[in-house]
Amino acid sequence: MKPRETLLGLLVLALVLGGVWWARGRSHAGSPVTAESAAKAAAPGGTAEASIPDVTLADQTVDLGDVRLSLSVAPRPILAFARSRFRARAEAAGAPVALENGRVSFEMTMPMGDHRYTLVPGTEGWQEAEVVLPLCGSGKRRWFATLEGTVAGKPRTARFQLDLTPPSGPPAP
Amino acid sequence: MIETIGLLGFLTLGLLGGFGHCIGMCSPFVLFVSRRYVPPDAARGTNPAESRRAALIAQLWYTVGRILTYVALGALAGALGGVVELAGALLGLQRAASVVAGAALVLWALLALADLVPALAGSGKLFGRVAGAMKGRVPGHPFATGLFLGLLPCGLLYSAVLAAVARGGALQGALALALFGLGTAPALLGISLADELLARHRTILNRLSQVFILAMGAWFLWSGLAG
Repeated sequence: MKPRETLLGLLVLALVLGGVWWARGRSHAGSPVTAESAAKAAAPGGTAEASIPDVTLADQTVDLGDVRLSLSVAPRPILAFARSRFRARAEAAGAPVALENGRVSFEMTMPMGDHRYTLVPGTEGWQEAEVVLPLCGSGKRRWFATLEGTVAGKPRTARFQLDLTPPSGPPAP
Repeated sequence: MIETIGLLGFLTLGLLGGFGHCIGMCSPFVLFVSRRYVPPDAARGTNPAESRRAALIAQLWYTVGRILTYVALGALAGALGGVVELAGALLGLQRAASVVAGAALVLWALLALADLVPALAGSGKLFGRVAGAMKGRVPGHPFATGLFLGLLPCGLLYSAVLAAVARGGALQGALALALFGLGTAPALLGISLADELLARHRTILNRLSQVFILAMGAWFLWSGLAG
């Protein structure tokens, strides 16, 4: 083979790898908690995932200091390719407060595209979205949900994690 | 409610997913297509330009086949307006596709690597019989391979199909998935070109590619069987 072809091949490979780097960066862009998680994972004995509230089995709340953001899911287990109702609520000083422009987005370690849902008013002060999440062909089941909204004029973000159950998976624990 | 993705968004999804996702999952099939469908004379490397041209044509046919399957899925999703039932039906079909594709990769790679193990390479032995059994069972044209492999289980494809539902209508769904498929093409064609320039005509790298195809075939086989 000619050196010219080798150089050209290396150039093409570099472009492809550059594309991978770009795509991986883009797919996790705009998720502030991802950077925090990455920092924790880099720390000795990193506990990035362990520190993120898990809504697989029970509803969870993230305390942001002056505001608490809660995320609820039904039904459980959270099945892939099935409609799940995600509900979110904000509280301040123990009382519900308005969560404006609420949205919840989902991602996982494999780039899986945009899964963004706008929250609409539900019952009892909750906001909700009907969500369908797919299975990853790699076998990974863990998704991360980022809940965003504005409370008292300030943007708020909370991150949760969940494990999807395949459609033919085990019954609810 | 799900936030609607514009048509351009599907192209971006494919482009990002192509580099971030398909490179990992689909590259063994890209390598397989170049090795399976390029005429032997061209593959021997006596005429590198002709070899590259033949590989490119095979890859383009494969890509067109794959995109057509995506288009059909997009049209179905858009027409049905609800993806849950479609996805449930697809899951079984895609697991079967994973088993068949994985088995084909494993057998093809074993056949390609058989000459490294003289005890296995003898004519009339196991691999000779397997080769005979495989003849005609792997699609004879890369277009048919693309049509079939478009059905492989793929989370990114599922995501695109889910988003296509929100487009409302078969035509919109088909168009969305066509753009998604087009978006995935540059990454996979790039891998094919890099393979053609760096690996396929170098014995050791070609062998490594065959081992990679074998490993990924085993993985697809296992994941299809394990569900």
